[in-house]
Amino acid sequence: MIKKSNLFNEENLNIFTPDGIEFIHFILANIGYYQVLNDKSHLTAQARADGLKVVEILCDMELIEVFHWGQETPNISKTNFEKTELIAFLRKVWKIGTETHEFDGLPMFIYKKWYLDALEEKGLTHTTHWKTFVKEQIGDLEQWIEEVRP
Amino acid sequence: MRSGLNSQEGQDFVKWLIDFEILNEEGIPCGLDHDCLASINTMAAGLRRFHGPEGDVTASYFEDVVTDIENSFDYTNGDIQDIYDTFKSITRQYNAQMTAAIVGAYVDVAEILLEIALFEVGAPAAIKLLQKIPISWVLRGTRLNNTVSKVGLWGTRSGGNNSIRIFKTNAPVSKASETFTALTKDKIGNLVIQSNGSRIANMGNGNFITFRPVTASGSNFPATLQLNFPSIYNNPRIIKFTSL
Repeated sequence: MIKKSNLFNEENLNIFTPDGIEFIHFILANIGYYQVLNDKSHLTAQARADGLKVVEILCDMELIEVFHWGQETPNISKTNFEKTELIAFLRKVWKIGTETHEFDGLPMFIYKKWYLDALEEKGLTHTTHWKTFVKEQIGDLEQWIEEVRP
Repeated sequence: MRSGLNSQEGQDFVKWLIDFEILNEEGIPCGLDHDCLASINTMAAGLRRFHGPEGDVTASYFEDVVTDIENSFDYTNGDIQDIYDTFKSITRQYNAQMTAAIVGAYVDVAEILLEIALFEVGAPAAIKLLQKIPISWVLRGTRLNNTVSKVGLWGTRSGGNNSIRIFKTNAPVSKASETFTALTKDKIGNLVIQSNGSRIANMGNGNFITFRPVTASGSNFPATLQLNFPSIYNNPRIIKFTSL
C-alpha cells in the first residue's frame, strides 16, 4: 500500500512534477503502473486503491486542486473541498477496469499555485531534468514543501 | 519492370529517373527562373506512371497541393520552396525503392508531410497540407502505427516524464488540431467529445488518439495530443504543443 513516505522515494518522485497528476493515468504511471507494453495493471482494484490513496495523501498535504471535474460535476468546490467528499466522488466515477482513454472523462488535477510558483522560482523549466533538479536545488522535497508553504 | 530494365517499360522508367534527377539541376529557387509547380506536376506524372496505386495517391496529393497554391495567397515563396524540396525527396524515395525492384513502393508519406507541415511551413499552408492527406496514408494498423511511433518522438523530452514531449511551433492549437484530424481519418465510429473539450478517436485494437485544448499542467500548454497505443508506448505518449 502506498504511504506518504513512499511517495518521496526516487521511483515515485515524478508524481511531484508540475504535470505529474494532471490525469489519473499520469498518477498511476508515476507510482509504477504502465511499466511494460500492453500493461493491463491499471485496470485492477489495486490500481484504483493506490491511485485513490495518492490523491488522499496529496489532499492531506493541501497540495492539489481539481482543475476540471470531467463528465460528471459534483456539488463540490474545486479548490476548497473536504478530502472525504472528493474521495467519495472519485470512488463513484472511477470504476475498477476503467480504460486509459476513459480517464480523460474523469477529474483532472493541478498543483496549487504556490507550489508551482516556488518550483519556477527555483529555476524549474519544462525540460529541466526533475530528479537532478530535486537533488541539486531542493534536497529533501518533503521538507522543502513545508518551507515554501504560504 | 520485375523482369529487368530491358523491357520498354524498364527503359521508360530509366528515362524518367534521368528526367527527374535533372529537374532544376541548377538549384534555382522557386519563383525565380524555376517554375516549381510545373516541376511538381512532372513528379506527379512520374509517380502516377511508374509507382502503382500508391504512386497514384501521392501524385493526386501533389496535384491537389499545386492547385491549392495556384488559387491561394496563403503560401509564401519560402513555403513553396519547402514543399518542392519535400516532394522531390518523397519522389526520390519512391524511385529508390523502385530501383531496388519493389513494385508498388511504399513510402511513409504521411509522416514526411506531417513533419514539413509542422516544422517548415507557415500555419495557413501547414493546415492546408494536413487537410489534404488522404485516408490511405493513415490507415489503421501498420501504417498508422509507423506514423504514430515517429510522431511520438517530436519535440523535446519533458524533464520530468519520459512519456511527455514538448513541441514548439507557431499556431500550436490549430496545428495540433489538424494533426489530430489527419491522424484519425480512419477512426472507428464518431469522436467522443469530453466536457473538458477533449476529442477522443478510437483507432481500433485498444488504440486511441486524443486532442485536448486544455491542460492542467502548471505551464499552460494550449494544446495536447495523446497517443494511447499500448503496443507501441507502455503509457500514453503526450505531445504538448506550445508557441515558439
